[in-house]
Amino acid sequence: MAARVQQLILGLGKGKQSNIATAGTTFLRFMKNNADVTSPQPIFENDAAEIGKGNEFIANTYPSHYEVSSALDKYASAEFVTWAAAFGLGNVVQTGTAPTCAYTLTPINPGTTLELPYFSVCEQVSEGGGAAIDNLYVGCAVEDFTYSFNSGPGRASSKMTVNWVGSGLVTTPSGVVVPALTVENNMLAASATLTVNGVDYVGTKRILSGSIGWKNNLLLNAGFFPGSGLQNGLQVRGRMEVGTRVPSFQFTTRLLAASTEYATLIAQTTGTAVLTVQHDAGNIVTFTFPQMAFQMAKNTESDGIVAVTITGAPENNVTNGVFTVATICGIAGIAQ
Amino acid sequence: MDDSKTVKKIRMRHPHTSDEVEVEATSEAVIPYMVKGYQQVLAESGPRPGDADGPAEEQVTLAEPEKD
Repeated sequence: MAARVQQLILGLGKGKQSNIATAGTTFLRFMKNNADVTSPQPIFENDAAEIGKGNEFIANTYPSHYEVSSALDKYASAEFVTWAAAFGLGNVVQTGTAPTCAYTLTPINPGTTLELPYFSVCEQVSEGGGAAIDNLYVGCAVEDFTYSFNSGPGRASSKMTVNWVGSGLVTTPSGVVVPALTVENNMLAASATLTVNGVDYVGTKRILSGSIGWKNNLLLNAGFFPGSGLQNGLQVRGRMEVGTRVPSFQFTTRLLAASTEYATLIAQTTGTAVLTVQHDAGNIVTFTFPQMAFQMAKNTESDGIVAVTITGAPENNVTNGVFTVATICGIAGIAQ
Repeated sequence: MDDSKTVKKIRMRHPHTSDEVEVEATSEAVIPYMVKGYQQVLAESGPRPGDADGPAEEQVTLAEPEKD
């Protein structure tokens, strides 16, 4: 007997947990592209290097801590991008009612909190009438997310990847009945509009590809503080705070005689950068950098066409912050 | 985005100062407050509007994580 990886049932917490150690009770079931199966990884240390045993070999092992982390690589849907950006940025405002729920998502203000909303992750794999895997990871946070868009057909033209980290708390069996698959509304790159520093890159048919990212650089070691908690005698994290957060934006566009990218770079002109992708009027995502200069403009080629890759330098705008994601999708209550 | 057809205003509160404001329910209006650390005031109890949407959800009772 065995189980195929496609049998993996993935449930991501919809609502935020009340605290890092209390599991969420509502879940959204998603498909994904990567075959990663999360492990509750207990870490043990040993005394091989310690002096006085008479040799260099291990005499004893000692429980240390739990490490839990995994990745989600998905075609970008309005629902999943909303989930990822809501938990990845942390400050969530939702208005409207299904099927038109509008989300405004901004990074948490460090003067208010350093902790992102925590979510639970459930993974289940049935095998031989039982469960080969049935784990509930409690107290998870988004380490980073990246939205990427590319030239080319199909859902692969628009993808979202998320790396998440767990507190180490695991409940087995999960006790969760994961709901039916979420009906996702994928947003193809062909729907994109992109304006950067006053230049309409779609209207001029110049844009080729790009990516928008956010990395929280979570302070993982600081989560193991005195009193953070134990599970099976191994330490678990009692908090996961954001470190030095980094927004990123890079895009590649055809290079024309009238291209202004190099001049914008030299002048360090700042402006807004707005990327919108959508499935339809009820499933839209808009990424906004309110104030961005160019950090680098590197000439390149794509399919034999001369192009330039721009690396943005998102700046914090006093009024509108450094990065905003606004979405419309049919699911209410994400990260709330 | 403008969803003013369904929600006109929302309440936002600063968690430290407890200052509370009523803001037009648009991204343009709420972002300056979110940047300052204000958070949306949610209903104290009962389901949120639209919670009945999407695929069915299971409410489950979970065991407390083991703590030594």
